[in-house]
Amino acid sequence: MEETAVSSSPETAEQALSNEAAAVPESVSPFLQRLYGTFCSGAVEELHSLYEATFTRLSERHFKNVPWPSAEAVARLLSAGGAGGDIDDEGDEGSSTDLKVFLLLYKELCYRHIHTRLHPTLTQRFESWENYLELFDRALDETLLEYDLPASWVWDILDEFLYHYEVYCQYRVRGRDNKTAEEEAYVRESGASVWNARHVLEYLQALVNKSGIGAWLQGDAAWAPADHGPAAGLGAASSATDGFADGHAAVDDADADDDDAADDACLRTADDGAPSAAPLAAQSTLYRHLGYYAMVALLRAQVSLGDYRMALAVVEPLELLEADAAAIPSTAPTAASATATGARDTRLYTQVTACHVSLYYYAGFACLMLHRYEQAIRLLGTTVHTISRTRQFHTRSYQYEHVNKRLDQMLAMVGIAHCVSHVYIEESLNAWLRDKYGERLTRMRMGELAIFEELYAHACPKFASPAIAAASKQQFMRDMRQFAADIHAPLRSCLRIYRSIHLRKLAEYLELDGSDEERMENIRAALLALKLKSGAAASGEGDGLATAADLDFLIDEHGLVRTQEWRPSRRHADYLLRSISRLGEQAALFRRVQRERLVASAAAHARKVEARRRAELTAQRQLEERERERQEREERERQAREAAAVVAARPMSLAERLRSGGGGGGGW
Amino acid sequence: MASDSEIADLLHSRRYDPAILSTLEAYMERQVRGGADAYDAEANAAVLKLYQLEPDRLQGRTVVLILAKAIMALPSIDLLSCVYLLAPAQAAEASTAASYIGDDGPIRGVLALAERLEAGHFAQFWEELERERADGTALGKLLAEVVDFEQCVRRFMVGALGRTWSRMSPSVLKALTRDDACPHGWRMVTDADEQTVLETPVGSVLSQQPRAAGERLSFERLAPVLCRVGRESARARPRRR
Repeated sequence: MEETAVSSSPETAEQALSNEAAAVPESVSPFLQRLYGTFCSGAVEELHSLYEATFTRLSERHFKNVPWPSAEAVARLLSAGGAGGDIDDEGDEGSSTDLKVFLLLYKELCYRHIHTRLHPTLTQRFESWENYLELFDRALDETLLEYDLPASWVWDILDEFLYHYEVYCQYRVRGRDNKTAEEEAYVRESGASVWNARHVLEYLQALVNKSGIGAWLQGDAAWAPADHGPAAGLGAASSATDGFADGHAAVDDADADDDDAADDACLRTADDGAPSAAPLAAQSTLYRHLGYYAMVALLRAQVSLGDYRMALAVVEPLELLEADAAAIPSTAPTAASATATGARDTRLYTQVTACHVSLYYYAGFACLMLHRYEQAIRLLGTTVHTISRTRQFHTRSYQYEHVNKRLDQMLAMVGIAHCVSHVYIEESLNAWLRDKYGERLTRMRMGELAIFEELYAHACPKFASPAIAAASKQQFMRDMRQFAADIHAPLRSCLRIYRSIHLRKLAEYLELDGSDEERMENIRAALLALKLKSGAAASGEGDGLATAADLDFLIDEHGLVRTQEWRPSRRHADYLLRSISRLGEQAALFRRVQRERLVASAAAHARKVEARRRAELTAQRQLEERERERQEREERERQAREAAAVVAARPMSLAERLRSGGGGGGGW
Repeated sequence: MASDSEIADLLHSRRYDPAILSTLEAYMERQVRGGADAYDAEANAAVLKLYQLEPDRLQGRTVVLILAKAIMALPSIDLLSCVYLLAPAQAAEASTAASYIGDDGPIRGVLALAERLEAGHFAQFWEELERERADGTALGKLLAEVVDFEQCVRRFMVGALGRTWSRMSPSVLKALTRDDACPHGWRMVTDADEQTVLETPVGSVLSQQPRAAGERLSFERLAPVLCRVGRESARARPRRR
């Protein structure tokens, strides 16, 4: 519809627009007006419910197979409708910015709707990209500073940005089958600028830098000293603003040929060069969320490019591995910063379940690919626990299915990491794993490569190109092949059986071929490889001696291998720590229940006393009542008697006399 | 020529800008000549990333040298994370999706060498390296340019051996590392048969005391328990009276 509007003459375009505006279903236009009004007034709570519930419901009811009305039609609707009433007060300019920003957000919703429910055309894919860029430019030139959005909305914007990117990557790769020749040529031509991996990375990085989320995560102390002077690259605040300028310059550079908006934005920020004291993340919730979630999105983008080390470097400020110990109050150096860090929760991912899952899924995958099996298990295990425990609260969310699938994938990764590294995993997680992948786990331990491949294919994310997917998979399978090589599994079990065994004998048991010298060489190499692997699994933590695996060995000068095995029971400390805290929780719970019961019984007693008192009171009142009635009756009787006396004293009327005369006439 | 801090600035601000490739490549060449200590994994990874984003700019020579530098940094994960980057980010079609490692080039060759190291086949590593050198292959010539390549590989080997053996006869050490010097931290001792053997650092620790397989707990993890104990005992006391 938009295309026809653009191509035809202004009058007909006008006509088409007003037709479209008129065609908007009746229950939808008040919704749009209300959404706009709420957006302008900044009532986040209401916006949240409009966004999460009403939008989904209306999409379901009216736009199941068709896109939402075009932004132009909505603009017309909003400027004509009553919603403009309270906004016009703020003056023309303010309301026009409001409308522009709102329409960007609205268009984002539209394209998202098209991507999830319909098949986007090439034009729509391009427009979606343009729209994201424009939206991000508004964020980068601080226009959005005046507005606020619910956290889930912000997350969805960035999540969808990545999703559209991934979908487009697949679309680009897919063969000629469902593209016309024209589209094909267009995709090839625009390949450099539209949905380009480099621009995606640059924009996300610019958002992270702009928001100053890194400084915010470090706490107050990090940006306060910046007031003393912009020491180049030292103060966190100045580096945040520098970072933005640089980051944006890079974006600008890249887009110089086709993106004027970026130029404008850059100029505008260059003008107000004075660094503000606090990062935007501290000033505005929107920017805080934007920066934080852009970080998670960046993690995902890096993983999709196979850059796992960079991916982990991106989320390093989030201190994911420390997060599970976050219950402990941090020992901050000064009281001021202690209160500052104590007062705020830096774990913004907890606000949106999808973000929580995404963050740990991608970080866990990156760890897995970098052979950091222990870290992977820690990251994934904790998350699987947390999410599965709170899962029932999300059953109605549209992302429920997605979350479930991710949990499944994470469990598969834990399975792989556990098989390869033999790192101890928690009993409950282990039980779950056995329950879900039991048979396959055993077969993986036996070294069956097909199972590794199957679980990897199940667990891996989308990649930016098939080449990257292939490279990652190749490397993964190469590692697994090395792990599952014929020699390694039996070697392990041999080492488990013997306390000490000679190399020659070991070679005999493993039935290695070749001459004596070759066999010795091979067995040495296998032992070395085993050692190197277990060293890598420990991810370089601690000293060189500590291996995460439960098996260790040393060879002496005669070729005697001495082994040392640790039973899982060596994790007493973990177990005890957990049990102690659990006991503490139980005790606290018990105490609370007891206190509540005490309070309840006291209340019951009080009620009983009160009831008795009331009963007595009523009884007494009844008694009094009866007494009064009795008195009244007596009084009445007394009055009656007196009255009777008076009546008797009164002279008889004629009739009475006649009547009594009738009786006693004979006497008269 | 860009200084190290300029490179760091460049990486911070324009990491994905192809225009900085030539600077980074020159920087990499400097690392190759600079020996064991001149190594910047981040800058090298950035080069590979740029190749990934702009496959047309790829230079096989740089890739091989970066991988060689990463081998010198073993057992760090540098090499592994580099390998994942050896594929173009945007392939127009699935058919051209093959990564540019190639089947029979120097990139494949250097990866094969690395594989030998990771699999523990040290003797074979030396044999293959010598063959490349003797044949004068592209890889052999490139590796000859890398200063301290053998020395760093040997350091990696000694580290791995030192964790696996408690004592080792000098002949085995020589066969595996092609070097008869006693490595740093190892000791020459004489065993019961009057033979000279080398004792590794782990071995010397082991011979003095049995290894304590205790657990280490950080205070942070213990702190909440102690807090609780404090609270509980404070709570218990008045009740006893």
